[in-house]
Amino acid sequence: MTVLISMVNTSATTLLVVMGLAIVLGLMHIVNLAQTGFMAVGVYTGLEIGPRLGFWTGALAAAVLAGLIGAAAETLLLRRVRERMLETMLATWGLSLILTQLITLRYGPDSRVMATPLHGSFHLFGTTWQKYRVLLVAAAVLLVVAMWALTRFTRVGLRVRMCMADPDLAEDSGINTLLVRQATFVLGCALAGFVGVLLGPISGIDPNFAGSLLIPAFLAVMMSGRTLHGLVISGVALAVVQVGFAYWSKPAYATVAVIAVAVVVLGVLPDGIDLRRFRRAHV
Amino acid sequence: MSRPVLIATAAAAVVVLVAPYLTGTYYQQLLAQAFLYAIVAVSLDFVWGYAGVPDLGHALWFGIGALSVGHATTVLSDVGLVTEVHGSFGRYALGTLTGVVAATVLAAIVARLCLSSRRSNDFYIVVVTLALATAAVTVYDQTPALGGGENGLFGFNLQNVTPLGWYYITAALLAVTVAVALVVVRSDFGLLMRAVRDNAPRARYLGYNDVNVKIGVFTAGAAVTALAGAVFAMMTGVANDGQFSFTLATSMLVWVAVGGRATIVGPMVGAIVMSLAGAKLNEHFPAQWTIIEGALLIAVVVFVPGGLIGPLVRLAGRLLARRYPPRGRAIAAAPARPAGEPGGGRPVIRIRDLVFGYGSLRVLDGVTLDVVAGELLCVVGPNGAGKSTLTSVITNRRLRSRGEVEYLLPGHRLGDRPAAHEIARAGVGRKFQIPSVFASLTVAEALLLADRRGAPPSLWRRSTTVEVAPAVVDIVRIAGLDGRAGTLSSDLSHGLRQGLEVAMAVAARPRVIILDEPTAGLTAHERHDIGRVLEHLRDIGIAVVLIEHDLDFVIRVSDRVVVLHGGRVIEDGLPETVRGSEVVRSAYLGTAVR
Repeated sequence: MTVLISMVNTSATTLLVVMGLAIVLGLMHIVNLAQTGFMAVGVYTGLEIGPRLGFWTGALAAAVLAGLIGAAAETLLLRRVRERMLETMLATWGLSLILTQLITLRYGPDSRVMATPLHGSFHLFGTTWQKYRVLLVAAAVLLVVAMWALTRFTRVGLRVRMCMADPDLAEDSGINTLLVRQATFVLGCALAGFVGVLLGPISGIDPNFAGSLLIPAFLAVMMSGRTLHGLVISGVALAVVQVGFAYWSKPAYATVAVIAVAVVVLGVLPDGIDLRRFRRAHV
Repeated sequence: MSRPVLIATAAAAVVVLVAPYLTGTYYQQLLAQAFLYAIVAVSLDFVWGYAGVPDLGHALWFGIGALSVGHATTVLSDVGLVTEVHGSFGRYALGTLTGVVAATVLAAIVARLCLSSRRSNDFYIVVVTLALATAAVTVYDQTPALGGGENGLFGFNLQNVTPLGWYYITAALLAVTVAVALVVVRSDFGLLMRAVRDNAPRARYLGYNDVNVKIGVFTAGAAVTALAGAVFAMMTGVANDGQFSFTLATSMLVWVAVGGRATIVGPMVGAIVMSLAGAKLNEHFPAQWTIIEGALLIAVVVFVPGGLIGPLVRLAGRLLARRYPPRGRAIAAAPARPAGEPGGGRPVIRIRDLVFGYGSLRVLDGVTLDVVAGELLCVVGPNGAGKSTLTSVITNRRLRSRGEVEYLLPGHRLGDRPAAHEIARAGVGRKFQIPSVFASLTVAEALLLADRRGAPPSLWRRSTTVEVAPAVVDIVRIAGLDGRAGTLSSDLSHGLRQGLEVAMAVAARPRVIILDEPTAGLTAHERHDIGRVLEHLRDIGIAVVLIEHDLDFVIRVSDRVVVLHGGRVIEDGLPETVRGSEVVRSAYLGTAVR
């Protein structure tokens, strides 16, 4: 049972991290390696503001700050290397180094802890549930559903999907793709900052605290075949593998196992996890 | 080598030989480390700059080399502390060998998994290499029995070598590495590396196994880096998780990016300068140095993609070239080869009931067709009829399709589902609809690769003349490419690229040549000339398949016309028959042919 709960919790964490990455990758073809940096910016903002103005104000401030940095990075740097995937990866990687090192300079490399906004636990099905962890799972579910509803049912979602499908045609149809792209990147970064704070109370916080979360998140995005349900399946699958290995074997091997699973899955399903493909006969 | 290059090399050698006497042991040690890092930078330049595989976890190989030497020469307590050092020559040698072999094997596995997948792209490679480096650090830290955990291994340095000795050893290793690297990148194999980096599919359809080229270069880069790591460990007597870390891997990327990708000398200088500067600054401002590295990486990638040192090297090269014209590669006609077996009328490709589709859409819906030697076959049909798809499915049997494609090419046995490069090697040439060339190769270089048709090029020999069939020389002339042997493909106009593509396809000495709209963008006069070349190819026994829109041209040159419509062959016969066919009129044209 503990293992199961742990798997659910890790799945939620992975999904929270993955969403911001997936939005930016899906729409802009930018692999945002600075996601860890933005999460770190978020969590330290939360540490600064949370104790004074409350946890949720801190989380909002973190989202705003991360979004602003994201906007600056997009305008000054990423726009110049648009649609060149390797260049954007290297640029965001450099950005990540700078952000984490600036934080290290300011706050030092030592580990810190963040207070939980939601204390206590409750009993259900013969086991103990921590309220805050349940909240995180709910947040992950909510985020996935919101993302699905946003892209399916709203005009904004339609525009975003148009830009994904064919940026040139979207531009010619009167959509300001530059604005859509910038908004997407800022949204992705803001989400990273917000999620950074959310994960604060359950993590040991240091400038590179999101580094270990990022690898499974990227592998999940890679496995997902660019569909929302694929993203959810791969995020959960990798979390299960990770927790399972850490529980029955050594935590150190869990990181290797996660990579192996992703590589094997992509070897068998080169187009990633996409349930629609099973329905369609290929020939 | 031209005289100025000789003088520069000699001057550099003198500086390197004399420098240690002007400084103390401290700088000798620092420089020796910098030289090893320069070897790593050169190897990463091969992998990333020339073969186009962005290895973000290149430190992994360095760490494996260092750990292996440390592991072989130390005895550890239960908690992973070094209790004894066994510094015999045999153990150092064993450690080095194990490290290089382990790195080679692991790199080969990683490369095979990452690069042979259909999903393979920069994203895949970056994430997997980065993930592996991160995982390696975790495993290292949590397995004290292997390498001392977070403390690492220490105190096992080679005893009887002075700092000055290490200085000369590492300088010699670097000199050998750079010399070998320069010979390889200037060789015919160097061309192939760049071709695969620029345009892997084109290389594949010229008969080269692009995946294996990349795997080979990646693995060799890992082996050289592991060797450098092993020497580093022997010299410093330290092995720890930092040697695997993405911090070091990032530094490596920065050396190459700042030095200038695909220049060899640039990354070498970049590594030496930046690791010296880094070592000095790191003593006082460790965090600031990482920030500087990050900023440099961004600045170079976004604003000066050529790097800082590479362009200077290129500029020097250009100035030199003005005084000492380089030996470029020239195109020459080979003595006419005896034409293939006359066997005109013999089928060389038999297609039976070929079906191919995406989802519910059937692009090819049961195509049955014979391609015959010594015949000029035109495939026509409205847009979306499946003409280009037919080409793709014939030249790459790994695409998922149903039905049979049988290749009756004498001297070549193809398996059930041959890969694109195997089909190309067996003599099926192809020209893409949209001209697809190698951006960084000159016209002559592209023809050289085409002419070799997948035969492994030499790692050291540099061909100076490209001997091609007389027909190729004709095409080069007709297309207006003569006198442009040394022009970069990326500098050619659209029409000239079309010509180069046709020339490449013919230079590969095919038995079957499939040309997807070779005359698009050419003038009527040039079309006429291309038509003559095609007729000549047919006359020497080649099966020519032409996909074409210009019906007048088709009727004039072709021996047989196949009309595709909706993924089916609706007419197959002599040009006159097809021209008069009612079915074709209604399906393809809608109106009568003039």
